[in-house]
Amino acid sequence: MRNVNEGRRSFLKDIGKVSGATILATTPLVSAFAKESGAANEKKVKIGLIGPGSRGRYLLTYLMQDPACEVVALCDDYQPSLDAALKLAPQAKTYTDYRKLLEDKSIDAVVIATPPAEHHVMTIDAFAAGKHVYCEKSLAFTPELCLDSYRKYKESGLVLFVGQQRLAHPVYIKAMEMIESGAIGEIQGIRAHWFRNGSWRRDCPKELDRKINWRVYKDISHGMMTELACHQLQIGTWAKKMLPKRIMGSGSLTYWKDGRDIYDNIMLIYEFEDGVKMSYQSIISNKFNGCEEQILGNLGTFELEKNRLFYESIPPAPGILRLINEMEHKVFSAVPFAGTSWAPETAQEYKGEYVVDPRKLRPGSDGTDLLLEQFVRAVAEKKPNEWIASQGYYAAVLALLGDIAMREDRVVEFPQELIL
Amino acid sequence: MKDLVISACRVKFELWSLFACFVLANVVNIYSIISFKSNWGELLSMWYVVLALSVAFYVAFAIVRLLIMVIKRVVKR
Repeated sequence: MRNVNEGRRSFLKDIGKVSGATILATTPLVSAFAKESGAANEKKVKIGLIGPGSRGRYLLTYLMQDPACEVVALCDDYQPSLDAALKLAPQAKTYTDYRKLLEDKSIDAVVIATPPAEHHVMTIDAFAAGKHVYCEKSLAFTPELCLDSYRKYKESGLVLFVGQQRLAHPVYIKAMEMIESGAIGEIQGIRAHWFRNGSWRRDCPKELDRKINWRVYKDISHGMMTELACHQLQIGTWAKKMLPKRIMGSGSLTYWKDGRDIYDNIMLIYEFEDGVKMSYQSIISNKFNGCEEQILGNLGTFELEKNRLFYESIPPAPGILRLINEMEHKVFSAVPFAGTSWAPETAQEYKGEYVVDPRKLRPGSDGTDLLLEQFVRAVAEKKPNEWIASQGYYAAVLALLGDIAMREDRVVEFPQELIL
Repeated sequence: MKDLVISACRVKFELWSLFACFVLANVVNIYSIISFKSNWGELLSMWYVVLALSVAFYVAFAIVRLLIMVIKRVVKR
């Protein structure tokens, strides 16, 4: 039986082996260059989009901008979604059954953006039909189905990407490089949270409720774990280069009591072998704290959503500003009615440093566009990216194990059989 | 309205005053680097503070000269 530590070491090896090339390939400059050469010289990758709902259409807008690919087919059993997608890709052929789409031999790859409960069967059917797959998170609905999808991917020799867009985001990539080089010292903790205020429900006829509001039903979606947490938990394991040893958590429905059976208030701890913990909290009835991933080292802290790095030892303000500040305090503290009028407070307030110069980031990009570009290029070159596939797999497994820990109210040890 | 004549002598005096203020501001910068044990790179990186300080010293010097001139005139009367 495979040793758990051996599996975890293999995880580390996989990270190290491919991370350099992946980092290079994901810089915006290289992506832009690749886009141009794709347009000029190579055959376009033909893509079928399965599930052009809100997320699917978001992906579609990026795919339509990529000159290296062409969206030739759309599939949905909900006509309004299909109609809305056709406005973006009027030339695409439409299907209501994804299996018919897969029969189209001209299609090279599929993008699956249906609810999570459908991901596994569509992914394995796509591989069986010889199609490369970009599957939105989570990869599948249970850890075992994730493993099956991953094994089918390996057997197929085709490309598998999972919609974990932070893997392609320059801020995250740069931060991981800096962590590797010791910029924040040793990681002592990871804190991730996603707070928002909204029910996830959309108005619709009662008979369409489960089709439109699938996110709030536990037999179709695992709610916050598969919709939100999987993105952020994956950042923790990427930074630690380690899988957690055990997972514990608590979930409840505290506010949106509208007939849903998913939680709206969750808190989990993922504990690593070395004692470091990754905490995750999400509430969808208060947005004060927003969304963030903090990686805490003994020398500094990353706040990745804000693109910031804070060092523990704050560099002092320049000498001349400190001198002026001191003199001003001496003068004004002696005068009872006056106050410090122009004390150089900016020298004392530490706002951290940018991880990546914001001027070098694509405006409005959360990494989805970059990840899709990488996918299209991987398909065009017929080069599976093992690291991205395994990261997508583990992101789903981490989220799903967390859901199990909450629902079964127990501490879950990371199963050996789920380690690749 | 009378024409305002600024002599070459006056211009030279003001320029030398400004230069002296600039030197003084640099001396203050050097003093602050030594006393706070800062990086000597601040000699260049804090150029904008030195410039602002030079102007501040020049304006203060101008105010002092103006006050002296006003007092002298009042005393003469």
